[in-house]
Amino acid sequence: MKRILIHSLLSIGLALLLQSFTPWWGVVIATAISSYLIRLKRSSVFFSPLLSIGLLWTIQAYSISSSNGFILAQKIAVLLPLNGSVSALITVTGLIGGIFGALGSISGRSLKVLVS
Amino acid sequence: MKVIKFIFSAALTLFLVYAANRGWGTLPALGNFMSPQTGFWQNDQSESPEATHSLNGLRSEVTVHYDAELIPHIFAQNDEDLYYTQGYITAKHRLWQMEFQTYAAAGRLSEIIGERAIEYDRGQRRKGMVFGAQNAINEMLKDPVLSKRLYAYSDGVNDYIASLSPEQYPVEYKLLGYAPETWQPEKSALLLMYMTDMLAGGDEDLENTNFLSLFGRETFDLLFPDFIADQDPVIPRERDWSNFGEVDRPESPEEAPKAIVQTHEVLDKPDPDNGSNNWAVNREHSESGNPLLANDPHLGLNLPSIWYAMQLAAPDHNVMGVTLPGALGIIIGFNAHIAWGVTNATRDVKDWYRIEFEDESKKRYRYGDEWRDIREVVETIKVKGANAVLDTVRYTHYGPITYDESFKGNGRESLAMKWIGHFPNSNQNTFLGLNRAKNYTEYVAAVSTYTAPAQNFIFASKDNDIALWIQGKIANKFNEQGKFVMDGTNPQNEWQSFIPQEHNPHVLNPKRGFVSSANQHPTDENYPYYVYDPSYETYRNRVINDYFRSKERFSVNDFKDLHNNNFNLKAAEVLPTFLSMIESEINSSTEAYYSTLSSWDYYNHTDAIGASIFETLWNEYYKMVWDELIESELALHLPDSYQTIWLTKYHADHSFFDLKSSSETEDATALARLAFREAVKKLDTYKITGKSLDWASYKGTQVGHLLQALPAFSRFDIPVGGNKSIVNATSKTHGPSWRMIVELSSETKALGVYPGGQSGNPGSRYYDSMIETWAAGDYYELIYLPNAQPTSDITSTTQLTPAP
Repeated sequence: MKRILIHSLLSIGLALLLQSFTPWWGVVIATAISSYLIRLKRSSVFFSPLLSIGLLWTIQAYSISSSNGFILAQKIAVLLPLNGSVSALITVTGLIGGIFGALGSISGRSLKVLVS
Repeated sequence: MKVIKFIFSAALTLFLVYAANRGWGTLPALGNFMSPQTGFWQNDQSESPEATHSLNGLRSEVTVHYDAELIPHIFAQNDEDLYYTQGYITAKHRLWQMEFQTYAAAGRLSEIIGERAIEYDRGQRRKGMVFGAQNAINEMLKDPVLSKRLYAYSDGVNDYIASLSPEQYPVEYKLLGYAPETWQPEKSALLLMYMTDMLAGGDEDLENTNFLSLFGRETFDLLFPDFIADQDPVIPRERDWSNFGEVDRPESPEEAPKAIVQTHEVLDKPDPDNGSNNWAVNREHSESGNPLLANDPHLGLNLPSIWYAMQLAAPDHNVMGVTLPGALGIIIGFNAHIAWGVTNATRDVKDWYRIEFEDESKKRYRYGDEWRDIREVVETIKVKGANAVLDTVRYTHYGPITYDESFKGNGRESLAMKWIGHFPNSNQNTFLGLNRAKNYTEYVAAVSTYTAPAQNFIFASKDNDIALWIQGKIANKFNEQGKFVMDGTNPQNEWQSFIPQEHNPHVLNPKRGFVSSANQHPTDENYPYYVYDPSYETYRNRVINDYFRSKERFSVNDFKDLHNNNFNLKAAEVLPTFLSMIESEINSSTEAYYSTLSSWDYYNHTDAIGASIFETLWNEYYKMVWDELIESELALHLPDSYQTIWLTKYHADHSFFDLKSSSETEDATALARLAFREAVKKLDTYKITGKSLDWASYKGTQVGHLLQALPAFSRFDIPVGGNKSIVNATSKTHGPSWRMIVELSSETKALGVYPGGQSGNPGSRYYDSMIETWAAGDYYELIYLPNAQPTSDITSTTQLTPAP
C-alpha cells in the first residue's frame, strides 16, 4: 500500500513537472518513469495511475472551471455531447487522463522487466 | 515473452497517444482537447486584465482602462502606438474571429474545416475577393501615413499572437486543430472586402435576364419598377437638383441590352435583410437643445459579435464607438465634436458581361474589333485532410470570369464580373478621417474618397449641423445599364465614367430639421443620374420619417422608442385586405385564429399572438403567389413584399395568382383563402409541440456562433420583438447588430448596446453579456473618458510600457 502511495505521489509530481513543458501526453511519460522506478504488483500497475492521474486531471479541471462558474464546461458538455452535464465532462476528462496514465505505467513497467 | 510484452504495451500506448493527438472528422484531438493543461479547460476563464505589461512594439507608455462591460479605453501618446495597441487589444479579445473572417473572405475555409467548404472557397476566389483586397492594400500602402498605421496595427496583432503558447489559443483553434498565422495589412483589406461583399455584393442581373426571357418586358416592369411612388427617399423630395446644371450621361448603345443568356445556378447572395437605420435631429428639434444622432446596423446575429466597442485616444483626437475586428479606428461612433453613423446605400455596383473567346484555348476574348488577352490565375485551395484543389480563374479587363463551364451559371457560357469591390481604394482612411473630424467640412473631406460599399453617412455636430451624404464610387450608367447581363464584346456596354463625387446625393440641414435613412431609394425620380437597385427598402423608411414628422421635438427616450418600435407597416397595409378575403373561411377550427388576427394591433411585440398568425399566413401566401418563380429551373429573383401587396390590391386577377399545381384558376382572394387554410394547419402542428404561440417564442431569435451556429456556442430563443421590415428589425437570425444614440451636449453623451459581448471566448462571462440588455431594448451608457484619468466607471487598468 505504501508503495502505491509513493508511486502515486511520484506520478503526480512528475506529471505536474512535465506538463509545464510537454504536450498533454507528458502524463504518459510521468507514469512510465514512476513504474520504471517503483515496482507495483499486478493489477495495481494499471489501476494505481488510473486513479492518481485520473484524480489529478479531475481536480485540475474542476478547479480551473469552478473559479469561472463552469461557463465553458457547460458549453463543451453540449458540444461533445454529454447532455450538458458538467460532472460527466469532468469524469470523462479524469478517465482520459487516467487511461493514458495507466498506459504509460504498463509501458514503463514492461520496459523495466525487459532490461532487468 | 518480456520483449513481446514490452513491444505490445509500448505500441498500444503510442498508437492511442497518436489517435488522441489528432482530430477525427468533426471530433477534436481528444487528448489535447480534454487535458486540463492544454485543452479547452484553459479557456474556461473570464478576462481579468493585468496591471502592467511590457511590449516590444511600443514607443511610449499606453494606458488601457476597462469598464464593467470590458470595453477598452485606450490612451496613447502617438498614432502608431494607438493603432498598435488597438491591434494588440482587439486580438487579445477577438483573435479567432478576426482571423476566421479573413479566411472566409479569402476563400480559405477548406484549410480549417475541410472538404465541405470547397465550393464556398471557389466562389470567393471566383468573385475576386483577394484580387480586390490586393488592389485596395496596394493603394493604401502608397499613403505613407496610412501605411505606418496599418503596419502598427499589424505589429500589435502579431505581438499578441507571439505571446501565446498553444494552450492559450482561443478554444476554436483547439476544436479545429490549427494555429493562428501572422497578421498582415492585407488582412485588414480582406476584412473590409468581407464587408464590401456583405453589403455591396448583391445583384440580380442574371435573375432579371432570366425573368425577362420567361415572362417578357411588360411583366418585368410591373413587378420590378425602378421607382415606387409612395416611398420616402433618403434625400427629401424637396431637394431641387437644378444646381447640378446639365449633367453628362452616357448614351445608350444603339442596340439595347437584351437577354442573351439563361442561368440555373448562381452564387449565394448576401442576406437580403442586411440593412440599417440611422437618423439625426438638430438642436431646434431636440428637447434638450442638443443635436441627437442614432444608428442601428442590421446584420446577421452572430457570436463572437461582428462589432467590438472601443475608445481610442491620442493627442490629436479622442473617439469612441464600435469597430470591426481587423479594421483600424472606429467605424460607427462619436468624438468630442461630432457623431456619425452608416446605413447601406444599396446600388447596382456589380455587373455581368458575357465573354466570347477566340477559340477553345480561351487565351483571348473579343472586345470590339480586337482580341484581348486573358490573364489566367490558378487558385490553390488547400483542404484539411485532403489534397489541395486547383481552380483556374480567367481575368478579363472587366474582372474575373466567375461563371463558366466548371462553375455554376448554365454550365456553358463565361460571364465576367465588373464590381466596384475590385477597384483600388483607401476606404480605411475614410473612417480614420471621421474619427478625427471636428465639423461638417472635415466630415465631407473624410467621406468624399470612399468607394464601397456605398453608405448613407449620417452626421451631426455640436455646431448644430446635421447632414447625410450618400457616398460611394458609383458608375454613371446609361438607362438600365447593368440591369441585365450585357454583351461583353461591345465596348459601348462598358462603364464609361463615374458620377462626379460632388453630385452624389447629399443633404445638409434640411428645412424639416431631421435627416434619416433606412436603405430606401436614395432620391426621387428627379435626380439626374440613373439610379437602380433590385432591393430598396419599402417600410422602415416610412415609419421613421412619419415619426419625425409627427411632432416638433425629440428626446433620447424617443430615440430609444424608435429603435425598439415594433410597428409592422406591412401588416397594416395588407392585413385588412386579407381579413376581408378570408372571412368565408371562418369555422369552428379557424375562428380563434381569425379573431386573434382581426383584433391584432399590428405591433410585433414579444407577446403578440396575432403577429405569429400573420407571419405564417403571409409566408404561405407569398410562396403561393410566386410558385411559378420558386419552382422554375432558372435562377429567379422574387418580387418584394411591397410589390406583392400592390399586385394583390390592384391586379388581383393577375395570372401569377393562379396556382400552377391546381386545375382551377385562382385569383388573389382564392389564394389568400388557401394560404389561410395552410397557415392554420401549420399553426395547429406547431401548437402540438407545446410551445407558446406568442411572437417571441414563435420567431425564436437566435445569435449563432460563426462556425455554422455551433449550438454549444450559440444562444437560442431570445425573447425579443420586431421582425424584418420593422424598425426593430430583429428576425430569427438577423437584426440590429449595434444600437447607438449620441447626444452632442457640451460633453458628448452616448448610449450603446449590441447582441453579444466584448470577449470572443465562449468561456468568458463577457462572451454574450450584453444580450439580455439588448433584447430588453435597453442600453449601456458609453463611458467616454475626456482624458486618461480613470473615473469610478473604470473597473481595471493595464499600463502598457515599451520593453526596455
